[in-house]
Amino acid sequence: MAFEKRHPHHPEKHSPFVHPPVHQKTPTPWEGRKPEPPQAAPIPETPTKSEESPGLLSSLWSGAKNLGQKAYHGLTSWNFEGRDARNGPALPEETIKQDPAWRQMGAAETIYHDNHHGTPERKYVKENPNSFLGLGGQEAVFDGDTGQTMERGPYQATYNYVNPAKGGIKDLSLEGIGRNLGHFALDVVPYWFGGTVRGDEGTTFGQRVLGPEKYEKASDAWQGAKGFVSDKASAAGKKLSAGWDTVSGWFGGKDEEQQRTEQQAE
Amino acid sequence: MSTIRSGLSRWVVSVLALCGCNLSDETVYLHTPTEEVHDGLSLSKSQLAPFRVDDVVATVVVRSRHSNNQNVFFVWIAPYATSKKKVSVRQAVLQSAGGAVRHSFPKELSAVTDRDEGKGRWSASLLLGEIPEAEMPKLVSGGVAQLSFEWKVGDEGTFQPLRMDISPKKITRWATH
Repeated sequence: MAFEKRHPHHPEKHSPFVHPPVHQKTPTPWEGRKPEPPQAAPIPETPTKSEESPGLLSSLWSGAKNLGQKAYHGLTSWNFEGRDARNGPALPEETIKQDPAWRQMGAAETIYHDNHHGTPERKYVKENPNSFLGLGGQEAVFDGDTGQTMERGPYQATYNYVNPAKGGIKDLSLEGIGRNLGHFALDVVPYWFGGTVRGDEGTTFGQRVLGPEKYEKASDAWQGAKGFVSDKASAAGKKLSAGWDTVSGWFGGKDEEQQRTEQQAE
Repeated sequence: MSTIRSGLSRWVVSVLALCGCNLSDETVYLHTPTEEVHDGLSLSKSQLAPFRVDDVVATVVVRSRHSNNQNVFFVWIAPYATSKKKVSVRQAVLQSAGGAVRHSFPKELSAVTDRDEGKGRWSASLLLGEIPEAEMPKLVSGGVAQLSFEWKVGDEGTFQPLRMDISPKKITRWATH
């Protein structure tokens, strides 16, 4: 993968995506609908019925909403809090470098942890023999510019419930296929839909699927294509317009002077 | 039913296409006969006999690392045993098949197999040294790089020579998370 088109490092800006501020962020499909912020309402002179005692339906709806939120949190905790707990505390890179059990991953395997600023980030993976069937593994990600552990956020290390096959995507052994499929289903797809961190991802599905670099290239290509089509359409429109004027002239269309005369008469 | 199937196949094709956008090739360096020991291969397998002394199996690990702002390869000897044992290594040399490129690691190193690998297996790691990234292709230019060293198990054991052939393997990586 080429890294020549990278942005210089901006310490204050950690993402190549246009991150909306956290309080304005668009909810991801897994986050559900958040309650509307309270709005200032004029104080009524006499108490309304709903203030005196909430209606039965209102109470039921509120209870159902709370239950739904709790259920949603419980159902997705394996993907957020569960991964954090299993990954354990972040180790310094110097410690990881000295341990042969950690494998440094290649460029393609690091794109979802790469902030696309400065030097590429470095990602390490380690097998966890004590995980379910020994399939899982810890991750560590380090900022390419500072060498520090990637801070909590979209690019932080995430525990793998199934580590990908050591032999890559072309590992066609039974274990290799199982590992790649398992990693895709349990680690990659949940990231595409839910992001890395609950509530502060700030990225879209497309950005997460393509990764920062590919997403930017795709956006550039899309803008270029849109501009090209727009220019062509405009040129075609002008030609059509000119052609129409000519044709209407042949069939006795009104010339400008005639139109002006008619407007004055009106 | 056919609508679901066509939708599913479209989705699968899209996913494969997206994965295809994010592939990269990488070369790893392995000692094939002992590589599966790291994945849980039984230490009593007959194929490991040439690399076993006193129930300890010697394996080699070559891993890419970032050191002093450049990529290098760290070379370890990783002994595996079913109990905690002291292993010593000395006079290690990594050279190309013809001997044209040569890296020596003369320092004697010792470690105890005290890292729990699960399933009653214990391991240790002895870091021989690092090889610049650009040197590895030269070392395996003849097909393999030869790692030779002397090793012994326990304090009373005698050093025995061992040679391991390290070969390159090209791997296609995909966008994992």
